[in-house]
Amino acid sequence: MTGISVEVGQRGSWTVLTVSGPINSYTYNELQEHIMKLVGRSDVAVEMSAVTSMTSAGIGVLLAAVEDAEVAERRFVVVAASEVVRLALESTGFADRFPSAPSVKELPA
Amino acid sequence: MGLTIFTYLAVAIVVVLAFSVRGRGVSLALYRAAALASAAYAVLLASGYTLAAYNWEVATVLIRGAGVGAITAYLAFLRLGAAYPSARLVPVVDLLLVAAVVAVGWFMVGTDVYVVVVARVGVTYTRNDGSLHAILGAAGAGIGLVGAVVMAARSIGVKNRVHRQHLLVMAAGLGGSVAWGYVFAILGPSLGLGILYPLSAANILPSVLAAAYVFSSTRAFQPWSVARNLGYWLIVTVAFGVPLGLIVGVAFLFRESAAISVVVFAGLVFVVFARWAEAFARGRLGISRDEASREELESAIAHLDLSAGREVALAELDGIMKAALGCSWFSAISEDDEGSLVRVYPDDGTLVSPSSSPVMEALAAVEQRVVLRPDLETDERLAGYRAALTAFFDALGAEAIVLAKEGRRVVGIFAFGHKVSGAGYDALDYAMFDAVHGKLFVVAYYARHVARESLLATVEQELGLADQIIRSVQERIDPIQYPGVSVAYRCEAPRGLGGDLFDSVRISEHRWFFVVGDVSGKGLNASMSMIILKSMIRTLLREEKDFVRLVARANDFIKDNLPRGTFFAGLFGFLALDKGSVYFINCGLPAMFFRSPGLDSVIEAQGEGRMLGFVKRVEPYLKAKKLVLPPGSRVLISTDGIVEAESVRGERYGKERLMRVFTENKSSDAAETVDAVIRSATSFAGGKLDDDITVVVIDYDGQTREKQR
Repeated sequence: MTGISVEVGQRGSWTVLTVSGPINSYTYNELQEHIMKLVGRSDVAVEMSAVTSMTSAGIGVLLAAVEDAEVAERRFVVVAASEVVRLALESTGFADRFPSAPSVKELPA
Repeated sequence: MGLTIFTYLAVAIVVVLAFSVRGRGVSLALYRAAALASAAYAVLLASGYTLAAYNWEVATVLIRGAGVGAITAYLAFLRLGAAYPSARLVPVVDLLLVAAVVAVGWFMVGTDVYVVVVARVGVTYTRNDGSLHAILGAAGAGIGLVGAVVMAARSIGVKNRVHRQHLLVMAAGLGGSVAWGYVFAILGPSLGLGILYPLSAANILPSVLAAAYVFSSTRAFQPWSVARNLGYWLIVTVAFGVPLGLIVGVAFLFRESAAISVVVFAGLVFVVFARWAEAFARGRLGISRDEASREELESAIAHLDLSAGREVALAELDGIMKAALGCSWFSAISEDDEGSLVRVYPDDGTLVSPSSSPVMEALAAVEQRVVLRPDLETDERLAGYRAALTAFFDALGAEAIVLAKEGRRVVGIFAFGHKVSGAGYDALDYAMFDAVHGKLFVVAYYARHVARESLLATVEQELGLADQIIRSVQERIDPIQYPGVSVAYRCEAPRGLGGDLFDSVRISEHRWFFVVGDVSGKGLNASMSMIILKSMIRTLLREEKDFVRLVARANDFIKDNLPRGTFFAGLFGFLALDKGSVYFINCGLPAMFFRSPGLDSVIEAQGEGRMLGFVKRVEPYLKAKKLVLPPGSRVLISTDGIVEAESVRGERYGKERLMRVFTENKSSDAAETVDAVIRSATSFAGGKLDDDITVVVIDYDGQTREKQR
């Protein structure tokens, strides 16, 4: 089973997680751990252009991150969602629940 | 019309209140008689003075009738106050009262002793009072005052705190009505404020409002809390109402030159001031304090560490509830495998109630999810179960209980002892319990399904739980058994623990409710969320008659009570098998296929759907649809585990393959088709599916049904 890789970087006030690979029931834990550690403490952007597939497990991680960020009054953004990520989020009927940005360079200040 | 409009508004409120309260017995009948007599008095008085300009004869009769209405209302209140809360029909007394009202009515309406004539010329009213006007007026007010005094005096001797407060509230309301009438009908005119006379008939409001509160409230209130809220109301009214009135008053000086602009301006100013006043009340005055403490309690329960084991989690809950409510003790009671209730915290294993006892019957039947001890006496809805519930409270020594139920089945109960302060549980405590019920429900379910820590230590935790969860899921389905209908389903999880769900509930002879879906997450967490949601849906099904509201409330439950990030992709349906229809709401389920023998083709029926758990107000997004099932038709429903199954090359199984298997198996029965779908997807995924799956097939053969008729 292919794993995912999560790289952590910084851009201004944003902590940027760059994720690649499939996000499914076997791999979501790694992404979840990174996000849970960061989302209450800083503004978090998840760059997802290299995500090859995403099941409901991944959607759950992103939804929890959005809600945690709201409670902590922090920002959470999905950046450069790949086609599969975009389709997965649209399948929920609430794609607009996930704030997004086209690229890391275009993150709000 | 002028100020008389307020009288008609008061009448409308009083009539609504007369019929909107729940209850039964002589007390309620007396309350209704008093309220309707009050309304009659106000209408007759207001219409009498309006007609005085056009037909003095009719106006005079109406004004006389108003006096009779007032006396009747006060007599009814007096009779209510003398016997509340256990008023019974006393034939001699009640017949005498009715006879007295009829006699006084004839005397006042049919003679000139009360009012000789009422007429209006221009803007001037003329009322010639009869020889006994003052005596009759004073007698009416006197009966009202005596009623108030009787109520206040009786409150001293009443043991039940709620009834004591009820009598005092009614006494205050009745006294308020008499005082209001005196100020506007007698004192005002004598001080040259006769212009305010039309407001006198609106005095029916305090007495009826107070009595309506009494008949719609079953629990005590904190006097300081009421005083505080009245104080806030006064501050807000003075601080914002006075300037608002001045601004609107100035604006109305220009009403003739710019009428529409003035109305719009007044409306806008009103909205701005209302919002401003609300923000002020919430912020500076701290009206939201009660709300905040409820939220704090809710948050504390939500953060209980359930993974620490049942004993540890319930001990933590014990501390939280004691701190929030000041109760002397806390106890958790849970259903065991035989359906009896057993104390699990403190974990002494005491049998609290066997499965088929009257107590269990009563607990299953009550609609309330929170019951305070005073409710046993004051809440008429509990009347049929009073003896059994009182015995239950006495056996526990409890002052309040919170019920966690799945439909009629009691899953668990939290019991609370008396307060350390000696005070009783009141309306604020009730609101607190009610606000955290969802969280307590989750803990009760956890306590029901998680065995003792000492037992868990001997087995591998997740496997032990899996058995319990899966067994309980399988046991709680009403199989859809109906002539000419065949339903097959399979719900599987690759890890033994899953979030997929299928449930069906028989609603009536011909109708079934069903839900198919997938709770997000994996393993133990998803299983726990799934089983809790399934139970809650069954409970909601009992409470909610509106299909869309039912689904919306399921959404609220997920959003408010399940772990953050939890969502549900599924489909809710009602099968009307006698009509050959299925009504459904798709909440993000990817596949619902329908095959009609007439067309011999498969169509996709699920349409677009919004998953639950993403937004707070989901109702606007929900759409109920209807699918007519012709004889010989078949419906296939599948969660995303099948559609999103991946081959070793990373290719998705997809809807097209699913549709093909569905079409190829048109001569197989429902169970064979379900097996064929799962076999096909498993084979496609290289022999092992990664995700939880649920497949349901419904075959509808209306012809068989017709033949049986």
